[in-house]
Amino acid sequence: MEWYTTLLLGIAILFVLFLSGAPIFLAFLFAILTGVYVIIGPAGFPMFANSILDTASITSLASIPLFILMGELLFRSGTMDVLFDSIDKLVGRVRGRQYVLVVTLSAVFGALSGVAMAVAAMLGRAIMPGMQARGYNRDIAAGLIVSGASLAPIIPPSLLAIIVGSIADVSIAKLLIAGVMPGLLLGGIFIVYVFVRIAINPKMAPSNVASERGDTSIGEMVMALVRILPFAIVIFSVMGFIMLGIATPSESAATGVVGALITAAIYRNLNLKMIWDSVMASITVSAMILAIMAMSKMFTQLLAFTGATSELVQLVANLGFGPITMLIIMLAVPFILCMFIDTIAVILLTIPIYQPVVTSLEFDPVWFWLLFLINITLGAITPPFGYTLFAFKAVVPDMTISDVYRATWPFVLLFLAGIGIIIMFPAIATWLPNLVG
Amino acid sequence: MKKFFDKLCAIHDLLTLAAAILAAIGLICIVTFYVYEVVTRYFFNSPTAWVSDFVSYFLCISVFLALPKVTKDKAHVAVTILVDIMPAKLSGYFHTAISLIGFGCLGFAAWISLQENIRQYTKSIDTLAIISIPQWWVSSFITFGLALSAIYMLRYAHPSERFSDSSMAGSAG
Repeated sequence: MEWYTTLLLGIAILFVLFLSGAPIFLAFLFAILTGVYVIIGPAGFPMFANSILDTASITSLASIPLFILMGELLFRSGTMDVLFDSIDKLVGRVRGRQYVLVVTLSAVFGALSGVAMAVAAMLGRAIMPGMQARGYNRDIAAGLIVSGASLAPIIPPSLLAIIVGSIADVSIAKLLIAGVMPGLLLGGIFIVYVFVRIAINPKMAPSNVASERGDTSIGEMVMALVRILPFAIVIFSVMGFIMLGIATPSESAATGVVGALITAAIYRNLNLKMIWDSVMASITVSAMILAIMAMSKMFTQLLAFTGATSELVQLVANLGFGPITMLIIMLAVPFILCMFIDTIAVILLTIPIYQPVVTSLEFDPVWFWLLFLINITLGAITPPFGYTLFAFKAVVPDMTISDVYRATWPFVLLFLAGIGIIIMFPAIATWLPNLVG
Repeated sequence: MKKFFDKLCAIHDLLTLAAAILAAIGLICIVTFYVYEVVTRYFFNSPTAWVSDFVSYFLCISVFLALPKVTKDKAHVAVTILVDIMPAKLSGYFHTAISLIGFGCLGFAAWISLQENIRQYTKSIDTLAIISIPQWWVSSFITFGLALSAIYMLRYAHPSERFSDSSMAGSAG
């Protein structure tokens, strides 16, 4: 069988299994067991067993359960409520202030949780009803919450960045840090867009800003600032430790857990039951993610065994397209795939194929994989099957899924504009990681 | 007969819960190891040689100890959009078929892993690490996790245990 027939057949089987409702890790398991038997024969089965052991023992992957634990501790201890309240006080009395509040909260919550769905569901439940009641434009508010939540996998610490970094064999620390500037850029683009919309049509935001929130005195603002200071412990114990070279990303995830415990203690929300519930939730979610990832090595080995990897690189080299065209094609494929299948499945499916191509095209790995990361994040808010959209819809019952789709499209375009800017100015992604060294 | 199966299921559930608790303790150990490493390396200039190896062992063990609970809770991520819009009867058949395929795949994978455990044991193969230990000490947990998950898949193939709509629809994003 030709390599491309094997490759296409394998991807087709996986796709059918995904859409049949089979758990993704089972779909991969089925495809891999079949692939090993057909391509290598029964002698390949011990390789499969060892590939699971090898992948599940990768030390850097320990950061996945640890970052999940950090987020769980912060959410379950109620410390996020303090953050919410304080940022609300700190956002000034500008027209459309709640839009700014949404973007700011998304960025901060995203940074602390790293999971877009959780942030979309939380902000959808906490902010959306109030915004609608105050006369904010429903579509802008919904689009902003969904897209703001999607900054979570970009702004560090990000689970997806760790997964992409470990499979693509690129520095996880650099990939994490690389997300800071693009995350802020995208947040800035969203705010500018909203203010432009308000400038064109003032009805997009209520005119009576004072009615939204009473006067906040300077003292209250200082107190709000003081109240969010303990979060600096979490941020410093993660990003600070990585940037100062004190800890590796995995170690910083552990110090981040300690930071979250200290923060919860400062807010007097620390108790054993909360800690235990957080640990149990973290290990089960992590097992779910890592069970899928455990299949990744054998999938890569099978691709190499069929000759698909080398032939694909050869094919790409012979296409004669320029790097930019290739980049656009390579970003378009996962973007479309993410509309239909789960993000982690797309990562697992595409990275082993892309990795040698990225090397042969001599792309900066941090820059390319960050673009890839933003791109697949965008896939989760792109209709028809965006998980973040579904998470948001679940908490906003008065909006139909079509309403959510319509609200999201402008922000999808803004995301694409952001990606375009990062392609034109790679330093946005590479400057900070290069600074760290 | 039903009583016997109920008892077996109860033992299966109990084993799963015990394994999940051990997995959680494993995660706490990973946090402790890493914090200990950072403190000893940066405050006492005395890096350890064992933390990295032990974290990798504990990670693998914890993941596969927790896997049966994920399967029990039907918490695996899946794309259920098409299944959700199917008529209930048809989606029921789909769920049963997927459960049986799941049982077959996980059971076979557990068997492969068991063969490898036995090979590692008989040939005294150690892990490639600074602090090396017999490889089967770690890899046997993979067999355990896959086997217990396989049994859940078999249990879920029964019409009364089919996946609910909300299950297996999580996502990690």
